[in-house]
Amino acid sequence: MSRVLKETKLSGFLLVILFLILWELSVASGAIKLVSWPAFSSVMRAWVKLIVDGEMLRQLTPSLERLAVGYMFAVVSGVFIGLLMGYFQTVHNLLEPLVEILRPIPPPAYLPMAILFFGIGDHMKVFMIVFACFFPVLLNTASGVKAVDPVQINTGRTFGLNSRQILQQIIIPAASPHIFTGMRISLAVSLILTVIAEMVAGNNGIGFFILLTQRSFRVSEMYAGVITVGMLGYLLNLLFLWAERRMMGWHFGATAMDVR
Amino acid sequence: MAYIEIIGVSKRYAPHKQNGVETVALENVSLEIDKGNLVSIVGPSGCGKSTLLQIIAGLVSSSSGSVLLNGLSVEGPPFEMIYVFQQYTKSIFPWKSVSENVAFGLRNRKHLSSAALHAQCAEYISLVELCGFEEHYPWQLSGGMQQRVALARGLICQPDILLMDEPFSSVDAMTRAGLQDLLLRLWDDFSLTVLFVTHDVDEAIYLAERVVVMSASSGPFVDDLDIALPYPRSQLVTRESPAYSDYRRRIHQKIFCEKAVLANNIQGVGL
Repeated sequence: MSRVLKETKLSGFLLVILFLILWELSVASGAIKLVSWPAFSSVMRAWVKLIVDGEMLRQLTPSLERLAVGYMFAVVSGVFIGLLMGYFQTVHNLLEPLVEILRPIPPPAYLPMAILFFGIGDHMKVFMIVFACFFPVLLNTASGVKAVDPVQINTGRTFGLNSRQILQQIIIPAASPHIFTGMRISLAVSLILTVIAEMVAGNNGIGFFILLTQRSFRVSEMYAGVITVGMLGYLLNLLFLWAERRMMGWHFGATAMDVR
Repeated sequence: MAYIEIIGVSKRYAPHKQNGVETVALENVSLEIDKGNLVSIVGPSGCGKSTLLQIIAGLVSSSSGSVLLNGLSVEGPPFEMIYVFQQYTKSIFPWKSVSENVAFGLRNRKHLSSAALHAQCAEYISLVELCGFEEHYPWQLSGGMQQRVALARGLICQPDILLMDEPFSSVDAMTRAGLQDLLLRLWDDFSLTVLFVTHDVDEAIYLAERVVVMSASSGPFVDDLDIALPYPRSQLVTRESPAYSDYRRRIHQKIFCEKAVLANNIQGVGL
């Protein structure tokens, strides 16, 4: 039994199920009688109906498209500029003040400005996602490049590698654990921004759906939407971890050795 | 004209921000090395011997003086030199397997078919006795094995000169003896010129044909002696010979006497 607790997440999933049962009982027993607190079973019924009639997919598809486009754009530009900032001190000196001024602004603060410039369509939403996801990737990439050990770079130099080869063959792989950390932070941020941007303006997407159902008192469907976002975040993270393990098996082996 | 000439090399680092004191890593060091020699540079830590090796390798520029290889000034890392770092855990790339690490340098120097590259890798991996570990990653290997990967990675490029910066100082004593004998074998097989930096006097004598001694004061060498012990050397016979002990005593005297003079500022304790 203790092995099961130690080596599997069975207990964690049982806890989730326990919470769901308590939720159901809180309504079924008559302890809570609120319009805003439907039974879990009715949320599930609403959820299944949304899946079956295709409504959930219709709302999820535009959300996922925005998320994917914004996230990819943020990752590509964040890694590219982050490499430059980490590699060239001059670029770092040039961009660092600007980055440190823009980075702490909470995304909702520049949302009105984004609407002024981009309207309420997809452009605004993608801009919000890119802007918020860009900085974690940028800063982690830059610090990852700065943290590359001089011995590794000198090893490349003694073998006659030029700067481009050192960047490609040594700096990028050596900094990749940091880059992946930034990408993982940004993945969570991208989901937050997708939902917020869709709630503020627009006529589709999972964020829009949650707000719409709340305003039209379709409470069970609102909860179904919230649960879907939670599951989506969980799945995206699993997918990310799977990709990270595949691409960076060496890193996990090496760090596991360090811990021992 | 010697093969490698080090002429009056000094290295100073810019004054420290707080105390304004300039750091002198090397002061007016000269040395000539003939082709095919195995020369040890021995000295206490902080004497600048690693800095000297990095200047010879073209990794660090000197403040004054010059390094000539075959009469030509060394400006960047020369093609015929391979540098073996003390920090093998960093120098060996953790994201590459043993065979990928060994292939690293050669792949960037020569355009070879993957079959030819693979065959060469296999040859050099067996040379350093790592057969069966081709697909292992560095973290799965012991320290001695990692340093052997570094040796194979260097030798596969067929260098003329091997610069070694305390390469065996972070492995245990038994592994170190094995690596020393491996180095002697490779030096002989490949007719290499080897410059071996160490703080271990025994290691310096055991390996080298010639030992140059640096003192803690970073200045010119305080001793330069030929080691007339016969090759092939043996961990048992060589280390027990009377001549070996004599060399050992002489070098220790040079190093520790110099240290005592520096510490106490006593004049005229020459030997």
